[in-house]
Amino acid sequence: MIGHRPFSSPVFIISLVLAYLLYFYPLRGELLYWRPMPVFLVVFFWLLVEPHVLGVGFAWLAGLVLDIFAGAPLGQNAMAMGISAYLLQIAGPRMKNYSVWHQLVVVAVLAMFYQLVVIVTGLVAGKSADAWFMLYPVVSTVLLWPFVAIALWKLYKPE
Amino acid sequence: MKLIVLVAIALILLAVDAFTPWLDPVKSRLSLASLPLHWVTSLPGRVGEWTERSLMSRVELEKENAFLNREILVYKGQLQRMAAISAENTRLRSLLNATEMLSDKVLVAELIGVSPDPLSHTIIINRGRVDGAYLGQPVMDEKGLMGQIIEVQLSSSKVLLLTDDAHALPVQVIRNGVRAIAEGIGDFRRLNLRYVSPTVDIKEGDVLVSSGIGGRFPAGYPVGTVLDVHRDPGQPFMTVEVEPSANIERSRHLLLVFSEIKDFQAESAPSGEEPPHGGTDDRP
Repeated sequence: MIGHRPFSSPVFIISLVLAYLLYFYPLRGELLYWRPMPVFLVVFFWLLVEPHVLGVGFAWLAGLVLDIFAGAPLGQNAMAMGISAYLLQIAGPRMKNYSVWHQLVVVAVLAMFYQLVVIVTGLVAGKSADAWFMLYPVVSTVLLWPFVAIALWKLYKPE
Repeated sequence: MKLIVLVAIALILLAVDAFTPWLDPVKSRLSLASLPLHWVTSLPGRVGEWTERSLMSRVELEKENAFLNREILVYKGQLQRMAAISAENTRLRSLLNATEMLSDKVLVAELIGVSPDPLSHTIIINRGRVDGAYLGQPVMDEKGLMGQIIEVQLSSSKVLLLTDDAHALPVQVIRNGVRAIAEGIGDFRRLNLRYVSPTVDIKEGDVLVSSGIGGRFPAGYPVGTVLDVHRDPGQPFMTVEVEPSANIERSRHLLLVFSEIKDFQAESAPSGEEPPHGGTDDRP
């Protein structure tokens, strides 16, 4: 069955596990502010590649797992993932016809949206939101996107 | 449709989490799940440290050994004087009818995880309930106070650092005993002093220690050094920047302080009621 393809693929599972691990990789000093969003990158790659199997629910769940691991306010990343995944579903079918640069713009908008949802929900949980460095992860995530996407694509569909 | 339901669930979770303590026990259980992740991601660093240690040459080891021996000698010498001074201090305090100074015990702990969020300054250490760690316990490194425990698991605990913007602690200037409140601002290398009026005698280079007021931190542990004092005539209070003494970002080996204050607290609050968020109750 085509439907079970991503779940039985080792690339799918390993990429997700690695994404969660990388999120926790200890960074120091200034680098801490530039931590990219590995879970976002990997989840959105799979949403793009398998739009008929994976959807908003999968993204939401991935976000909730991230919340649990990170000890963040429960529902913060889940909501951000869910909403961004929905936006991707609207723009997604056309993504394949876009040029690389155009795709990068879409990812940038989604990542920005994701981070804004995280910041706003963080406000509810009593965190401050008054510094530009909160948007740095968006920049590093967008810069990483082409590499992650190409690497995962090559591994998933070698033919 | 699905999206609306999922977002609604997320919103409800967020609201329950933010405004009620119902989810706290669940969350502290769930946070155990992240321990293996912290463990795996800290492997590269620890392997590096280990290889560095095991590849050290004999000459280097001997040099380090000699240095450590010298250091111990110096400290022992200072300790002898300390003993005499503390005896004298106890005697003088008893003359003043003041309570006896409390003696503190310490336990060495190791850092096993750092929060990935630059806005929440928390770390995870490898000591928990089985080692006697308790909620609100002060944590320090070899240079000064680092923070306090806000979550105790069986064999690990979560520590809120002094620099988190939800943390504040009462301090005192060594030079003249002026009291103030040192507050984290979310920067690993800065604390700010709150409510310091422009007439207060505080200047650059002053050393701050914990004052012991509030009963959470024992008195007399170094907290930081005043970096800059800024007077703005239009403002009711001065801006005082403090550099923390502890290597908040770098220390891997920490000390848990067991002070007698713990018993005192237990007596005064027998209901077992603990503040919802460790740091906030030290605020005025």
